[in-house]
Amino acid sequence: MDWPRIERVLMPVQVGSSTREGIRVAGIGEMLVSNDVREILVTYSLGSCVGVSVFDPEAGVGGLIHCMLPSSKIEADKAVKRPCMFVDTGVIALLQAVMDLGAIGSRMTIKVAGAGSPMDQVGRFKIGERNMTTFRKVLWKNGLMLAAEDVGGTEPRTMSLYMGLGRTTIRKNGSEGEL
Amino acid sequence: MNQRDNILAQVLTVPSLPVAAVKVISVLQKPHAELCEIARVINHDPGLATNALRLANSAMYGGQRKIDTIDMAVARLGVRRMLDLVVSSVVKPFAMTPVQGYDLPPGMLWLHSVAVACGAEELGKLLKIDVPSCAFTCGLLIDVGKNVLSTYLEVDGQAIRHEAFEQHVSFEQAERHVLGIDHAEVGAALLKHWGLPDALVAAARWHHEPSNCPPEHQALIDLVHASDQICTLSGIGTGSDGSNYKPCEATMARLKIDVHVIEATMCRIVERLDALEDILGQTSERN
Repeated sequence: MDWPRIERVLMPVQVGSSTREGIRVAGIGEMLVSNDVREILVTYSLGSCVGVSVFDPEAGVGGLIHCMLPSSKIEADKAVKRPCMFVDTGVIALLQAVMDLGAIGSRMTIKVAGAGSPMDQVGRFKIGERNMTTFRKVLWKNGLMLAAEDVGGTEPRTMSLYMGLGRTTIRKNGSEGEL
Repeated sequence: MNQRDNILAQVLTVPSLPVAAVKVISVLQKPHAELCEIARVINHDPGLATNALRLANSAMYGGQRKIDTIDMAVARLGVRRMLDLVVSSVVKPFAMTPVQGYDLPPGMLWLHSVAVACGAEELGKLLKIDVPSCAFTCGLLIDVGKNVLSTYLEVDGQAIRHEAFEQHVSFEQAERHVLGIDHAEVGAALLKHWGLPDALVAAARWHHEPSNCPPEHQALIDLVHASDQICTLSGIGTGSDGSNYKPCEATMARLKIDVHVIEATMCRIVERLDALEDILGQTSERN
């Protein structure tokens, strides 16, 4: 089967930084890709933002992104400078980057976390929901399936992708669990 | 002594601000602060003088001409930015400390404070309203109460988180239930102890309850509250309290804030933080 071609994003991409050995951190509007089994890719403080992890077990390639806002159309010039800040351009950039390292769409496990909201909100602050709507559209347009999600609520989340086993975990309220 | 009184007594043991800083802040608060008077006071504090020259020559403010005197630095930066600079200089070391009760590593609270400060200004620009001159400074200071409370939250953090997330009450309400006081009131007590102006004290005190603030500070505190909510929601420098706060509907209605304004503000805050990085330095091991 021919896998749908993912539209390339010819834009600079903000790459997360290294901290302790083996742990690399993606800040807001940044992404990381890896094919090194010793690495753990991490993103902290997911509020209304979404963290997306992608892993192809056969190629041993994975990636993680921290997107803040749903649509790059809101600030087109900023999207050119920071595509990973937006779900529509950022997730495409992530998929493209892992495919450049040998991942194949049909083998990818894709997981998402975050998309939180403040308390008792009626609509003004529904950035998290808007992020998820855009994220699902991107997957649908590219024929990709979502394997797992941990979204909504007011608790901040930390998302980690362990490259050795391809595990994605979520840490919230003091404990870490498998996603 | 109950726990609330004990915490308030603890606030009074926090070291005072440097005399020069309090003096500059008081001069800068005057409606028609004279630049030469400000320069004279800053000249007497080597730390403030160095920071003023650094900021005046930074990429954000630097013109073609190099600034090498305090008079020129003050003229280039203006009164509003001098106030921001002075408060940043004296509060940053305090706000950079880890806030363990909130699971905030070193620098995270400072990152959040700077983001709220930038957000208050950006919101004002987006909404085309006059931004009170001390809005940025207020943003820097609203959460200093967390530093003081963290001493206690090391013990009670779990109880507060449980109350907040399991009982579905806002985090500051949970603080009040467990400790008898919240970080907003503690912060305001600290700023008062430091002798800072009323507007700054009021912003810290009412940043989670803007509708209860004195009317003369309403416009200021609305902006600070909205910016705080936006930064908290987007996860910039947030701790274990997450976005477990209630945005004030009356404030949002007064400011006419909708989802598009919120998204545009988030975008601009990140851009401002990028631009400030060379001045602020790496703020945290996270982000």
